[in-house]
Amino acid sequence: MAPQTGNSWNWRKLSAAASNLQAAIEQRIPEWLRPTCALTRYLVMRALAAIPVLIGVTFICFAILAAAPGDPVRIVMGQHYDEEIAAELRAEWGLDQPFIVQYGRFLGRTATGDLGYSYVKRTEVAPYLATKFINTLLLTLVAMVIAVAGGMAAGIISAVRPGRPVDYVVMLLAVGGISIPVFWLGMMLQLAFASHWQWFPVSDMSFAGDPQRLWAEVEGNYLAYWWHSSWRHFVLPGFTLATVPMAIIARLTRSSMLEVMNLDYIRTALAKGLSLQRVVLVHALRNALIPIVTVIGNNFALLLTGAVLTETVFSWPGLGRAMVDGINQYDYPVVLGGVMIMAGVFVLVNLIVDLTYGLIDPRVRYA
Amino acid sequence: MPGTLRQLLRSRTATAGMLIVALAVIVALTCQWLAPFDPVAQFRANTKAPPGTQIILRGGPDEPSPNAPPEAMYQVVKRFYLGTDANGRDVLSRVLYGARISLVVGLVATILNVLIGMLVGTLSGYFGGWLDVVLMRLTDTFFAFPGMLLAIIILATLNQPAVREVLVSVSGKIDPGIWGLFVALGLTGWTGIARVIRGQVLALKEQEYIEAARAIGCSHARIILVHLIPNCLAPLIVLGTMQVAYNILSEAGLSFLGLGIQPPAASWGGMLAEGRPYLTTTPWWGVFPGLALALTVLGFNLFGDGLRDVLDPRLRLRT
Repeated sequence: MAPQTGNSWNWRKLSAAASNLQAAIEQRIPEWLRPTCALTRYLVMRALAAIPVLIGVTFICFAILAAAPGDPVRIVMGQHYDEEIAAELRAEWGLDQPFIVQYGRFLGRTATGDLGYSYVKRTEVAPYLATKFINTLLLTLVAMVIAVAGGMAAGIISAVRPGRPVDYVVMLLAVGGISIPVFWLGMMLQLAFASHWQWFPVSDMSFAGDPQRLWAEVEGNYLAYWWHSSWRHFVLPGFTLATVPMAIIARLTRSSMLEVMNLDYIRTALAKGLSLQRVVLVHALRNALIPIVTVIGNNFALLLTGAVLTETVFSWPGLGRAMVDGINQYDYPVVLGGVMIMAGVFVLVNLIVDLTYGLIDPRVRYA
Repeated sequence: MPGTLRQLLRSRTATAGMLIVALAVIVALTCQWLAPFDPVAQFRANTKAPPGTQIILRGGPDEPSPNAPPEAMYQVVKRFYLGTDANGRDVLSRVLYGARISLVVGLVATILNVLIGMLVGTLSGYFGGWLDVVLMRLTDTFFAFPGMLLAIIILATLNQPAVREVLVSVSGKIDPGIWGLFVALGLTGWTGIARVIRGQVLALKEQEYIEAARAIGCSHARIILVHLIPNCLAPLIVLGTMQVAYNILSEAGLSFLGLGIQPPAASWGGMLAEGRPYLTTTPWWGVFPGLALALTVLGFNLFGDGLRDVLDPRLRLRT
């Protein structure tokens, strides 16, 4: 141990004092409440740990945008550029302030849930991005259901018959799935199922025909209306968005299952006469699930944030599309707000993933 | 490593991957001789020609051109094997030249990824302490940031007219968008590599030969460069190969959004973006570049899978 210097408030002493205090508090908590308290403390710690990540992400983004040579005021005003009004706008948007002041103001506003006012859309950013985010969330949920169902089924089938033709074909399809460019796949699906066979609409999120006629046809049944107007729009983009995570989940399920299937307890379970189905689906899958859940979570977050290409191909009014438009139009509040939402989603999904570990494997403890 | 190739050849998929990668590399190196036409030449009389259309070029033997007078001495009959686009440019030549852009961007961006990831991973794993905390927070931050989006923001900044002018002056005949792609993709794809390398270094640095190296007075730099990094090569090669596939896909995606390589320069993503509105009338314009792209990426992924199984099977759960 390093020799202690004269400074009495060093880090070691401070942390020792903190853990003493913690132990003292813990002794007073009744036995039955302790797991809950541990979980609460874990949640609080995770929330605190997310703050530097969020600050870092927005700082990087803010710095890049500040370094960009374009002037949003000039872009927004276009040909009607007028020096006086421009100066007013700059003052209103805070663009005349030094970088660090702008960033400080942004953090202050964001902490209160206010994402500012869009330069171009002329509306509050938070509700604008909220609707876009919900559109992306709906599409992502559909895609994730397809991906998890298809991917896990394929992976399990493949792992039960390793080295057989089924395994070979499934794994080849999975490599194809991670290799195919999603935007190209989307275009090909449009070409086949939307323009050649016309089973599904080419693009957009909602009913493009005559909504009033449809409303009359379904006799005012809201659910039926939604079903007829909307579900077809989810099929092609949902499947397109699902390909990559489906392939990743299939590959991971296979390797994770293969590892578990070689363990002794599986042999025991088979030896005592349980059916293969039961052993695979109940005994093996549960233990193979942790890496799979991690990857499902990661991909869910990736889809929520990285669906720009699919949204572009299918003209989906989602968050990624809104942000790319925001970047092209120098609409900084929209970009920063979107970045904030995405980073927040990422942190939240990771937390949920870590919490599900405890559900899958009771040995996992949150400390 | 000499056994690696033999082991790779034992797997049919890895062999196929290697062949595809080799083919892509050969095409990228030799596309100026392979391509039947100049990829940016516009044959105005033959716009949207279907695959296999013949064209008669008249004129001198050095420069046959569609605009020469009919009484010119030489005649050359050529075919647009994959058709032409709305500007009368040969799709086959553009697909072949697209391989060059894709591979160059994929390789350079991956080299940057590997360098950054290796630096962050080894420093963080080897020195530990506060440096580890800071670097891993940085990695988390970049990881929490959707890579595609950061790339878009960086590219949007670099695509501004003022910056573009400077880039044009340094890039000569190359499309200036390529520099933005290097930076954007190089800065975004390194987090996975950094984490794996950190884990590897953490495990390695406790081993006795590192202790021995330290005991005989090796400097930190020597231990890292001579003893640690060579032992991280297996996961680096595997992750690097897969990263090439990812970077090629990202390049195509960004060019598809109009942020990377700009037309008329030939890139697969750009061609897909141009061909999208004409998909139903001239499908060849949008189908063939996508096929080339999918095939190339598939090759790198198969190759990477094969390398992983041979070099570092433990990575299976991480990739």
